[in-house]
Amino acid sequence: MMKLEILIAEDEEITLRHLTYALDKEGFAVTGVNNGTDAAALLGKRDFDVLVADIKMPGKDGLSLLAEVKERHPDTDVLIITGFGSIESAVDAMRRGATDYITKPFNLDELVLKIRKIEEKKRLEKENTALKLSLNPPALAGSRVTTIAGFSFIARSKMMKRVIELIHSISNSDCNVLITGESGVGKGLVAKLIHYTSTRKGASFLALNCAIFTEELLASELFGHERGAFTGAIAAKKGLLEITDGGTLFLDEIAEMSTTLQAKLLKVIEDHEFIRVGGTRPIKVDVRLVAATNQNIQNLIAGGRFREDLYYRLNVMDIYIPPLRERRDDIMPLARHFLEKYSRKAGKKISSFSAEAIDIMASYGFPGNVRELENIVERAVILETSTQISGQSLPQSIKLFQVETIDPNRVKTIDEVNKDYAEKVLEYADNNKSKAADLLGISRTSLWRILKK
Amino acid sequence: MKAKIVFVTKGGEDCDEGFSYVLELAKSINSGITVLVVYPKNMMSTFEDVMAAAAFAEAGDFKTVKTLMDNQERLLREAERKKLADMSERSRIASIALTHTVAEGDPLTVIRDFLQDSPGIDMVLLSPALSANRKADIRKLIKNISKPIVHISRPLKAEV
Repeated sequence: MMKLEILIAEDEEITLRHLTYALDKEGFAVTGVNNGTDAAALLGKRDFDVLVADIKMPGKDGLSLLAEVKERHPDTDVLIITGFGSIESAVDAMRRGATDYITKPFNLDELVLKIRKIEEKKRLEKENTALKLSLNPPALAGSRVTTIAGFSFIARSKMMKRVIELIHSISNSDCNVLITGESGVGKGLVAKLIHYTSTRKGASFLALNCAIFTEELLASELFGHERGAFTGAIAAKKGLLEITDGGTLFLDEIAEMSTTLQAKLLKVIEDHEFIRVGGTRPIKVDVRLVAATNQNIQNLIAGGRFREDLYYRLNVMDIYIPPLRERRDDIMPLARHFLEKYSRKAGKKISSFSAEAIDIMASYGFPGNVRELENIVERAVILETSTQISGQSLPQSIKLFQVETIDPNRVKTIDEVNKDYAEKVLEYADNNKSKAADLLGISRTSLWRILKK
Repeated sequence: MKAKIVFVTKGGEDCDEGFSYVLELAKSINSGITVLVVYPKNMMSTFEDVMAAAAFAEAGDFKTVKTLMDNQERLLREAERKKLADMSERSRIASIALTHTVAEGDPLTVIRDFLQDSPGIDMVLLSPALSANRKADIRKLIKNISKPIVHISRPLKAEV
């Protein structure tokens, strides 16, 4: 977690030196200046979490600084140091928006306690912001969060059980993860599971869909921006990287990110720091990245549309979620789960599927995967008038047509399979073709023919 | 709503039923649709038109041949406009974003070139007419395209 940044503005040199030394020892990042003008200049260049300012100083006084901070740096808390006996000025400072005050001569422990309270307040504010974002996504045009409404994970098929095992195997790890799979298979849900089974589960989890923003807006969502960074930036804003500090950030449809932003993201992964849009100050951050895509990343790398170095940084662990047609054991358990969910939501007592409905769903290909299945069940619940989902409540189109999906990325000819295997054996044999042919039990000529295809 | 589905249909094909399916699928996965209409390079679609054009050509009446071909193209374009207008209206009612592209040439080449310029597409849906030739073309398709390919066809009815 980042250190609390404190700016001390105090014209008495001894007090300034003493305060700077003492607060630094307490683990804060402290900067000290001996007049209000220098303090104002520093505040204009970078953000501080707390300003501790003497009410009487040469140049700008404490109250002027307070007014400036309230207008331009609303996230900065101000602690005013007042003179002995001047309670009226302390009350005046509080009325003007100071977070707290302390009167001279003050006890250092008391000051540290007040600063710790501010630190705790900021921590709770950050948690609250993350929680609000996750529970109340803004309108679609500016949306940056996937709704998290509680989740349960259905995995009856062997393939999905293996996915669960993989998630558990990385639960004590902090590695970045790349989730791949067709649209609608449940990549977002797996990302949540990765976070909530990890050591970061107490910290924030937020999702960002990289496909729905322009490059400029995506940069602002990720890195935040400084006041005046672009037209409309009337105040500084923290980006998701800052908000999820200590937690997990899920980047959905990562392949839609421009190569320019990919380069910046790579720097965050490598250096654990970034600069806000329009800013100059590097901000340290500790975020775990989980990314997802339904595209063939290798093809995108070959086409220059995705950075290979970023791919290797994200793909420390790769989790592939198979399409629903390849794990048909999951169809009915998922359908029953959605039936329960939407029946409850609609206030209906629909408890099962008819044999006909089960047959129809069992023989349908679900090119839209789990998302399509969920939508079909939701609509069936709305249409159904009895206590059992009948075939009539299912869409006509899935009954009329035979739908078959072929994924070229998963289909290889026998020649391609043989070639892949022969290349692996050749690598094992240190590129010695005679040895490789011997291992395969074929002649050198046959090996040459297989590799040539 | 981003267009994630491309629905490929043959120019002149009655793809009404296939489009119904595509519309349902698009609604269920909250996707937009791009309709890709592929015409063969030779715009003549009926044997009679070809024979008529050949007869006039033999007689040296190339003006009539050109008129016949232009007329045929005009009729095809008119039919295509009506079909696309109908699809647009149905999509609008279903609140699904629809765009369309018309291209000429070999369907496999057209699909491959289209996907190269449209990396955000999630899946390719082939209309029933295009799906009918799948045995012959499937190997070529999977070699050239890296997106899931969905064939829509009517189930064969068992004869009693």
